[in-house]
This record gives sequence, structure tokens and C-alpha cells, in this order.
Amino acid sequence: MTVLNFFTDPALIFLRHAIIAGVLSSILFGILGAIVTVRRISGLAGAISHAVLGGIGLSMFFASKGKLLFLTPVTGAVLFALIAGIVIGVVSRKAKQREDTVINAIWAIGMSIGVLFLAKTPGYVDPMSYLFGNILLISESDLILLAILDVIVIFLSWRFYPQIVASSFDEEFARVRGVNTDLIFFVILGITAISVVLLQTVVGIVMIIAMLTLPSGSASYIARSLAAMILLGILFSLAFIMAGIFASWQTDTPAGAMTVVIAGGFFLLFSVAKNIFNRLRKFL
Amino acid sequence: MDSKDRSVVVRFSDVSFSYGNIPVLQNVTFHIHHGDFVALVGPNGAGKTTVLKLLLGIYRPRSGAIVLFEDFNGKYSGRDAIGYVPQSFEHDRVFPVTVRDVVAMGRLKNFARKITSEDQQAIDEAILKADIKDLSHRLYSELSGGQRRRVLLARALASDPYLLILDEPSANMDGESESRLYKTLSELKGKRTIIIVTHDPEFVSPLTDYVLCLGEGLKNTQARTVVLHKTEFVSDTTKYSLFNGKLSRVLHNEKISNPCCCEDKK
Repeated sequence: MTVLNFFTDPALIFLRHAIIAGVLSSILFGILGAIVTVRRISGLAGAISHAVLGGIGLSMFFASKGKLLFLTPVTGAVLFALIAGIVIGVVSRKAKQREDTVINAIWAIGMSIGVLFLAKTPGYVDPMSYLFGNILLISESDLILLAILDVIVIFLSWRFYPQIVASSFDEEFARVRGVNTDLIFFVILGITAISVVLLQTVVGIVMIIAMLTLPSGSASYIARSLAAMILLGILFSLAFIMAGIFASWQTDTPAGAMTVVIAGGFFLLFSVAKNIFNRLRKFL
Repeated sequence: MDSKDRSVVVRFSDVSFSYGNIPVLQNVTFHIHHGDFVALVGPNGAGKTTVLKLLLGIYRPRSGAIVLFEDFNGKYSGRDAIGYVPQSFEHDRVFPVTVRDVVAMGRLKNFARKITSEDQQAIDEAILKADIKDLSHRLYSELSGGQRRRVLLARALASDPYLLILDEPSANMDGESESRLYKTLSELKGKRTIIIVTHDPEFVSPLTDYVLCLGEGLKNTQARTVVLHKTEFVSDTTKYSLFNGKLSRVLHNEKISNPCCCEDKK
């Protein structure tokens, strides 16, 4: 296969789409992953991403009955993601206790609603395809939406970088300095919710949380600023996704799962290496 | 103490505060003058942090009024006038940020992105004042608890605040960090108004001009109020070596009625 061949051969269109999707989603994984990791709200992101299945299941069930046709799987997913995001956000801001219980409840309930509705949908849809996604089946309109979201996220994180860093590091101090920390928190949750809906087509619901935490976790071992962590997170995500697509192509296995295995393995290797390095440094 | 400038920097007038139905503060009335070094003293759970958060505007009083910089004709207001050094805060243990970038957060504005050369200069000065130049390029996560506290002091000093508020500044601090911290504070004393919160109700740093005690229970309520006490230098004990050397003892039996320090003026 020559390079030109790769870009023009209509038979390879799904592979081209997969690679573009990999690039576009890496940007989101890098930026949102770093912010979610340093703010320690990956549990919140996980709950939102799993609640999305409820929206997908609900919309597919009603579509099969010929009712609520305006509710496509994507709009259903967006609806559930935003509701989950708002509920989780309010709970985590207001509740003094049992915050994690509520978040875990939303995680489980959203997912269960999805499984129940999908089970009752005629022609039974396999929830697996939503849980683990398929980057090789991504459509052109998905790519356009991903690109738009990338532009928005890049702009916001560039424009409000000092406020994001300060409020993630010490929220109370940022508030004393006049930063609207609640607004930042809810915008981050909202963007995470919408990203989750778009990204579940790339790696699937279950894998989103892995790709939001593992590349930026690896990056945090060597980064000296949030910006460096974001850039490294983007590069790592890109490398993991490309390696995942290639490996799944070679072995005829699901690309999403392959990507997460590679990302997870790399993260664990990095953790061990960092640990050894720290011990050596103390020793010397 | 400078006797010429008795401008009032902080005034609490009959402030009450409660968390839901649990009363925490009641009838809190005190004021602090320009250049004063004040210790806010009280046992754990007495409401010291609540007073701090009221001062910082994070909480609003249920009744009463809190006025800052009332004698300054609007010269000082808002975020740059107050420097806050928290005791601790929850943050990601591997948050990738250098010491200098933490200090730079002290110049943060609500929407601005740019760091001006004026900001850079203020950051450098704050690093020198807090005596952390040797740490400035290290990662915050690599520092000890005492070193971190001095970094947070530099962050507060970066806006050249008129009122400096420190929450338990010497808790869990090693001796060297503590002496450097109090050296910085002694250089600021008199030029800036400084409020220190401490849970040790017996002894305070000799820099302290006044002690505000929290924890005097009021009749028929769980709420506490604030009472002004005198201090005296300790000469009869050698076993305490806190606060970079000497100590002052809080005289809990000698209350000072609050407005008395201003009666000369009126």
C-alpha cells in the first residue's frame, strides 16, 4: 500500500476515518483528561459516561415503537449526559457527605436503564457495541462534530488557562482572587458530558474513562505544568490509539479494547519506572 | 507600633453566623487597626476558620456587618488588598506545577490571561520576601509541608496585600521553615496588617500586638464570640521554642473592652 493509495483508495475510507477520529479524540482526551485528573473528578466523568447508555437505550426503545422519533440515540445520549452532569455537579458542590454514593448511584442507574431498554427493544441491540465502541465505524458527521468540539475545547482551555490551573490547584484561593470557580466547574462538567457522547463512538462508554485518565496519568509523571501534561497527554493518547488501531487490524480484535490495554500497560510501566527512579534518586 | 495611623482595616459589628441551624458565632464585635499584628486564638472547632472565611468574603454573615478598609476611602478594595495563606487544602498530590507558577497564582485576575512585566516583578519580589528563591524552580509536589507553607505565603504576598491573613501558619512546620516564616513576618510587621490564626490558646509569637480569643461561650447558645485579650512576654519558661524564639503568653483574665483603643481619638 503506497501513501497515495492510502489517501485515495475508497476501500480504506473507514481506516482513514478511524485515523482522523484518533487525532481528533486525542486532543479531547489530552485536554479534558489532564483537567479531570488534576481536579480528581474522573469518578464524575465516569458516572456521566455510563449514564449515557440510559439515554441511548431509551431512545432506541422508543424509536422501535415509533414514538418520540425526535429522540435519536445521539440526542438521547446528550440529554442523559447533561442531566447526569448537572445532578452530579450540584451534588458534588452542595452535598457535604455521601457524595460518592450518589455519583455511583447515577453511574449504575443510568447504565441499568440503558441495558433494560435495549433488552426490550425489538431486534435486540447488543449493548456491547455502545460499551466498547468501534472506531472503524465512525461516520463523517461524527468527525465534523468532533472537530467542532476540539476547536471549542482548545479555545476555552487556552483562553482561561490561568483560571483553570488556579481553580484546579486551590479552588478557595482562586475564589478569593475573584475567579468564578463554580462556573468553571460546571463548564468543565458540561463539556465533559458532551465529549463523552461523541467519544463513545470512538472507544465506547467503558473505555472513555480509561482514556481520560491513563494517558494524562502517564503524562503527569514527567510534566512540570498543566500545559505540558495536556500536550503529553495528547501525544500519548494519539500514540495509544494509533497503536491500538494497528494492533487490532493485525490481530482482528476490537480496536477500543486494544487501545485501552496498550494505554493501561504503558501507564503501569510508567508508574513502576517512576517509582524506581525516585528510589534511586534518594539512594544516590 | 505606629501611633499616628489608627485607620481601621477590619471591623466586625455584631456579627452572627450559623451553619444551617447550628449557631457558630454570635455578637462578634472587634476591629483591627492599620499595622497591627493580631492573633486569632481558640481551640479546635471554636470557629476560627469561620471568622476567616467571613473575612475573606467566602461566607456572608447571618446578621451584623463586616467592613474592610473603612478608613481608606476606597483606596484598597477587592482581591489585591487581602493576602490569604491557607492552612492546607485538598489538591492533587502530583499536580504538575512549579513553585514559581504557584506564586504567580497570587497575581491571578478573574478573566485575564496575560502576565505583565509588572506581574513578573511582583512575583520575583514575593519569592525574595518569603525567602524561597532556592525553591522557585522545583515542583510544588516535591516540597516538605513547611516549604509549601512558605510558597503559599509568597503567593499571598505577590499581590502586595494590605491585609495578610495566615491560617495556622506554623502547624506541622519544621524549625527552619518556622524561623524563616517569622523572619518574613517580622519584616512586614507595622507596614502591613497581619492576622494569624492559631489553635494554641496560651502562647503566641512576640510579634503579636493583640489577641482575639474565640471560644468564650455565650449563655443559652452554642455559639461563640470574640474577646480581646492582652499578652505579656514570657520570661519564666524555656521549654517552649516556638515562633522563632521568644513567646508571649495570652492573659485570658485580662479582657480589653473593644472600643477602648480608639477612645483617645474620639
